Amino acid sequence: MTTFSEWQRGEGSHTASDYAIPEDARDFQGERAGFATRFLASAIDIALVALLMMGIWLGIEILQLIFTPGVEVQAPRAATLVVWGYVFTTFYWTVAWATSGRSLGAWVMGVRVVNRKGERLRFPVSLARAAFSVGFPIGLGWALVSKRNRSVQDVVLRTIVIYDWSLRAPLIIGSKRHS
Amino acid sequence: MIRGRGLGSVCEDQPVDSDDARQEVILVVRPIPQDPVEGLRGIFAAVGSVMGSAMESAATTAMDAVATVAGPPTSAVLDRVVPGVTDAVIQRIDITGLVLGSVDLRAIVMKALDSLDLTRIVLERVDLRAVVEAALDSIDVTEVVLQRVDLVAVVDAVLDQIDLTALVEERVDIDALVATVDLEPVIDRLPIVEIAEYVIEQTDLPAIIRQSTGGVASDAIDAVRLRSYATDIATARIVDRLLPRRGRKLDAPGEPESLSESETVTESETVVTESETVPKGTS
Repeated sequence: MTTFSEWQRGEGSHTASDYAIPEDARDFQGERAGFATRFLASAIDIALVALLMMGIWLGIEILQLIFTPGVEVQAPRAATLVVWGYVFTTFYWTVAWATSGRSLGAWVMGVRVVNRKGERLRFPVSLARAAFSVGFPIGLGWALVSKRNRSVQDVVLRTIVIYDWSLRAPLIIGSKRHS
Repeated sequence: MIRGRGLGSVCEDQPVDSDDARQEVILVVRPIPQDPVEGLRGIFAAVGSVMGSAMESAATTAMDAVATVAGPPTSAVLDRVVPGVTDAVIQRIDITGLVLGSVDLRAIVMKALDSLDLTRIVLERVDLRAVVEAALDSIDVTEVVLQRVDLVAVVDAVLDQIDLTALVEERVDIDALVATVDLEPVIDRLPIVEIAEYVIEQTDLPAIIRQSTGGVASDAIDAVRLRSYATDIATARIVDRLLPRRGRKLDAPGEPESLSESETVTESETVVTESETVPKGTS
């Protein structure tokens, strides 16, 4: 058992933000997230946006059927879906990264986007990163070979994606294992 | 005539001259032995006694010699003359100077001291309480102690000899003492939040809360996250094996490594290997 004095010296202790995290995951909190986790987070976000667009389309069609009966229901055009998908995804990621630092997919996978100082992204940076990610999704592949798990977007915009399972974003996020 | 000799007594067994109606009695006065006076007075008394005995012995010897030569009639004359002469001689002799010049007083005193138990004499004859009280009344004991006594050494010696902890436990009512303590300043100095965090961590309260309130969804999310993390490590390991390098630098943001723009990692830097990073639940 760690004594209070040892605990105060930081021996075998964790911060308050670790309390809600399972013991197995505490050690790697704050480290750079790997490709698989980030890919799954992005996939979840894209799927969520796709579902959202589908819901919007269904809603529009239902409203048309209600107010203008007899209108033929038509499938949306691919180009329209792509354009609106880009717009929605960019907007969604911008707001998510500039506020909590993570989207729904990132929350599910336990990752967070921060700047190089471990702070929340500013809105312009968040917007740029969202647009870059939507326009150049293959850039995430660089995280596979990057020594520090950085995507092209991370390299260009100096952002970092870290493991962070905590519910609330600390002011500064640091790695427990390397600190 | 009846002539007696002896130590302060009249001897009646001497020849009697029947022709002479007069009887002459010679009384020789000798000091009655007394118990020696103890102490310094005793010493001087002893010295005086010795001197007196010596003078008396000399006078007696001289009188005997004259009586033997001149016969009994002369003895009566001597009895009358000698005491006066002796007194005159004594008055004209500085006996004190004679004693001081001729007698080894030191040897006499030392012998007397050896024969005396001074301690017992003092205890029996001296009112020690009165002496001590008189001495204490005449001096400022506090000032003497402060000036002459090494109080630190005395206290240290005393503390070395006693078990202070046991003494306090035995003699001091600690509960009563603590009851008088104002605890609020003490509590103000305590890191209450840190203590609470310490207790929470040591009792693993979060785990208890998770187990009691967590549902299937949170468990599933934790499992997915852990599995995903393990996949990250495995994928990185495969890629690192294909590339000529040893591992990845997964430092946290805010640290010097994060602020650098270089992708290169020196050999001295810490690398995260699979054995270090794979969580317990996913290995």
